[in-house]
Amino acid sequence: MISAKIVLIISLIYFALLFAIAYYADKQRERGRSLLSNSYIYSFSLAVYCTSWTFYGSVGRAATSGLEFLPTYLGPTLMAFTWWYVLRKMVTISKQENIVSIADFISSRYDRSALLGAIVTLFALFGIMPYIALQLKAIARTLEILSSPLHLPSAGLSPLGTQLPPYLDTALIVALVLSLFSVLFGARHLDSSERHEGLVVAVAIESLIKLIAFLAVGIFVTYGLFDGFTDIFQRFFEQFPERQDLFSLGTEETSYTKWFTLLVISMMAIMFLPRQFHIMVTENPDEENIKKAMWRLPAYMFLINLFVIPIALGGLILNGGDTSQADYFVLTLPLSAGHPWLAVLVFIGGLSASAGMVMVSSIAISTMILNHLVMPVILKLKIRTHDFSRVLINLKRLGILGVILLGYVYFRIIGESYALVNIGLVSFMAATQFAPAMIGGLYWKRANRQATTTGLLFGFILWFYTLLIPSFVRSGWIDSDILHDGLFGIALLKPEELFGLRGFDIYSHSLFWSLLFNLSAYLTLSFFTKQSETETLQADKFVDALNETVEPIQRKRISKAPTIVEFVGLMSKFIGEKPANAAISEYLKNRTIDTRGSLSDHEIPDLKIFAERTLAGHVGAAPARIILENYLSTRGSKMEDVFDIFGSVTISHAANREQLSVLYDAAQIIASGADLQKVLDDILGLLSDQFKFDLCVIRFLEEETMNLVVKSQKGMSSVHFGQSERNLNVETYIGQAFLSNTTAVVNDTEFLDKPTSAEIIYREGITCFAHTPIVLEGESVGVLSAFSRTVKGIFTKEFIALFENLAGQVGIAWRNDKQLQGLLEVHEQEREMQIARNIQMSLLPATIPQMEKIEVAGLCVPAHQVGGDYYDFITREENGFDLIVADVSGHNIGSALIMAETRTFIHARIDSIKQPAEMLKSLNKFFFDNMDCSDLFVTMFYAQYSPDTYKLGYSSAGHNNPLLWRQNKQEIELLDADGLIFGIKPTVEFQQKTTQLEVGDILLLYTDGIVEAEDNNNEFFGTERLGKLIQESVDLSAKELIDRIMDQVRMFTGLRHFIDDITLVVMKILK
Amino acid sequence: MQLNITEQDDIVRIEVQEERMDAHNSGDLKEQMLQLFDEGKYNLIIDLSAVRFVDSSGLGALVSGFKNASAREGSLKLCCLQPQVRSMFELTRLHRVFEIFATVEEAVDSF
Repeated sequence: MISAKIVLIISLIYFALLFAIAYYADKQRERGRSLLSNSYIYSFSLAVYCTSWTFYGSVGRAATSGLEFLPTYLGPTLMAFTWWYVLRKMVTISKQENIVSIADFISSRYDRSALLGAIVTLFALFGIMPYIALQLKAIARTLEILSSPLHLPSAGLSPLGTQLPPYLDTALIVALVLSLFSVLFGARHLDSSERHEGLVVAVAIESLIKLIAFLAVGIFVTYGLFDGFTDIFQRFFEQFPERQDLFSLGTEETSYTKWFTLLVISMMAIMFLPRQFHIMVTENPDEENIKKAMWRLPAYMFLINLFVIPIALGGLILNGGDTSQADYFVLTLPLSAGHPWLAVLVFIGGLSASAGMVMVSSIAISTMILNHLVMPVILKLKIRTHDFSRVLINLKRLGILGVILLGYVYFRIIGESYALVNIGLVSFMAATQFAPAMIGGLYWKRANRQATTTGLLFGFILWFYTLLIPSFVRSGWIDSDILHDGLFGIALLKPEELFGLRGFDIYSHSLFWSLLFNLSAYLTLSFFTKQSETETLQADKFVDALNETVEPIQRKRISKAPTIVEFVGLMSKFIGEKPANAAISEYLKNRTIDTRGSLSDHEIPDLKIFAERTLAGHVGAAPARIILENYLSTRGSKMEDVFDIFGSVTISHAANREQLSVLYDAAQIIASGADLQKVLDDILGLLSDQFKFDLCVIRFLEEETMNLVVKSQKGMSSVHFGQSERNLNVETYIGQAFLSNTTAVVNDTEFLDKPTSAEIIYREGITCFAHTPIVLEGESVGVLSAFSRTVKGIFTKEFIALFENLAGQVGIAWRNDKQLQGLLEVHEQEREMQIARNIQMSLLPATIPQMEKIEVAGLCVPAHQVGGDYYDFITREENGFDLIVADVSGHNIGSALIMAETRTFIHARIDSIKQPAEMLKSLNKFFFDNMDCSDLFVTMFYAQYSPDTYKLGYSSAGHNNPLLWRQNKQEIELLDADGLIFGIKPTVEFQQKTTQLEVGDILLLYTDGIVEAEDNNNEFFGTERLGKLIQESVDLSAKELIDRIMDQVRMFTGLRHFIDDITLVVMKILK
Repeated sequence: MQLNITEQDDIVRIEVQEERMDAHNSGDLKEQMLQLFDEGKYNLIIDLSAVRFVDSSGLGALVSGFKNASAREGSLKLCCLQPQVRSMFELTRLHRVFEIFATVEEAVDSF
């Protein structure tokens, strides 16, 4: 007999220990040493499948119904064979799409439907509620059995101890404690896209503990209380010969159909229970781990079931065949045999089993609730706050608490009337309803959103009607009439004999009807309804996830696109500023940014997709889509096709096939990718051939002169048009078209109202004409014109639409060309900069020789392609060497050239100039003479060290003072010597100082890029921090010290890139 | 870069109305000074009272102005340096090159 207090204390200590391990795991991950790289952890964490239902319920089930317990573990074992194909595919897709839950997965697959996400979430919530209730029940019951084993409470929970108020029962306390730990494990920060490493490790350890505990009690019963397997079986058969049917199938208790049903639903449960999805897919660190888990999980299942029958039989023998307490044999056997501490171990095992399940489920479901129920509402209401992330994390915590408390409520209402096992099966059946949507979604492209929504709803309703309603009835919560007479007294609607189907057990019955409706709706509607375009895209992505796919050519662009900064701002709102910045810099790392700091046109849609995915990782796919769409539409931006060929022409208007074919041909011409001139000529050729115009002209605006300049012409020679270039004013038709951005049409030149134009028109005998502006993003860039000498009234309403559309296409061709030119130019420049960079890097010391007495390392990181920083290490003939650090202001080619000159100068004079001060003096002279009036200037620190005498001589030309760590004094000293920066005055005297170094001293030369690195609050990194860093890292090698400094500065600024060049040189005196 | 330019006799005072003078904006100051030199105005006072930080490019602009003014027998003087900016000048020893004054009036009087 162990007092409840002690058990409680032990449990809390156990939880605290788990939390400590989880915390440690999180910290390790932050240090980049992920514990999850160990594949055992993944395998063990999957065993979260085995809950207290397994731990206590298996024995109970084996004792009452025999082999019925087995399919629950055979199912996953069978399913494990498919994992390399199915599970790996799910993991791959989830990683690609940043999917965080099963609701997210289904919603993403089917057109990122917000409705589907909500349905799956609700379904999962109701489906899992009984399961959580079961865990609470198990913990509460076992706690009471443990503390008062002599008078087993048959039903109902007496309050634990007298000091508690009556409304607080054990299960509620357990629920609250579990909520607390779930929040600690799963919702300390809002980053569901990142993994909860700590949680996974804790779950894995719990799995190990429950296995150990179960094996321990199994061995104790089999070999301690009895004499091995044979003994138990013999004694059982002697004592209860009538119960032999426990070991066969096809009995009344365990019919073949029931067995099959159980097998099917447990196969689906291991894949599609929200917590299994969370652990197997969302938290999966590496696809390779799946391979190992494929045999380890079945092995685990085997081990944890090995002693189920011996314990069950042993329990029956010792309890005289009474099965009423069979669920708790695992606990009562050691207790009644006088081994309370073994019982405590069992209790801890059972606690692990329950807690693991409750935590993972509640976290998974609360993420789903947040993403699929709460977010859409928040978005709909357009609640405006600066920082959603804080609200979101609190909502998530609330969600966890809510889910667990809902489980508690279910337990209070239903829990008492059902055995553990039956409650679990209700949840399994719910998870099975996801199977068509999931499996179809993975392998069948045709499957669409409407079909899935309908199928799931059918499945949900039938599940509710055939399983939950009977359970409500049995608990006396609703009247039992419905069971006997059916809904509204219609016999066909009896929940357990739906449509007259009889002879099945309740689970097979429910499986049959729910899956029949679910699957039929899913298949039929998929066959008979069509997918939208975006839906097809998603379907392809999912089904082809494991195939090598060619990225589709970018055909979309965004008009009035937001800038990078705006995207970051949007993301920060939902995920916090730091993660947003980190994400965007990761994204931009491999991309070219143009001179204005923005991406080129065709990369913006990519950025949009990236932003959407990043958000999806935090709020789910459907809300992410809504967020971005709302955002873009409020800005007036929209995605548009680059070749919007039939955009403004509707078929009914332009029933004329000829006209449509012109548009199509024009699109072909533009897509041909020929050069601009040829494209324009061809389009005009097409226009004049098809519609017999006498003259077609394309003019573009030349910005310097503000004239419209002819770029292409078809028909009469330009002689006819004395002024082929047109000034811009509203006196002419063409000017009017351009300036007012509307098409100017004259169908009969008898009626002209602009005298300036009339003169030429009459001279050339034009009968009708039109000018339409070539518009890009709302601005005219040119004019497309067509003239006829023979016909009048050619420009009908439909024809104008076509004409305008052609002009739009010309605009696209023009823009494409401009972009291409721009890209070519940028690439050319970049290539040159790359060459310059290579040359510059080759000017820095490639390797620094290994030396016996000192160790030297250096690093130079230019902020841009080229920079103005320079360091050098030159060995002198007379036993010693020079260390130089210099900083040329600016980071452009000019700076790089001066840096190169500096180096040449020093290397040329090194043999003739022996002293640092002298070297600086002649450098100053050189710069003054050669860099007159330039705004570039140079600072330099020049040191000379002799390892034999330990003397360090140095001079400075206005350079940042290097740091010297004095090992014996344990302090940092700044090396300052008088001297002006180069190139200001013709002659400057440089002070030369000498100091004595000792073993262990560290000299750090650097440029201002380090100390002037800024954090978010515009605070500098500064020399103090740098000094402290050296002080803390005296044991590191020179190279390691440099790396450490770089890491710290990066962490300080929060950026991967630096805005200034950074150079570091470290010298350590070894002996 | 926000610059406030006032002229008094033949002395031009340029007040830099920025917190930072760095690679991004010091080009403007340089151009402004070159323009003044072209107009024949060689006596400049740069008022740095608003400036919190000057990097090497900012110093470069000032140095270039200084050299150009000196070459034309004018002068470029600084005034109202904040402590951090002052320390930057001391580090580079440029405080020995530029004439630095505490107030605008002192700077004006020194011409």
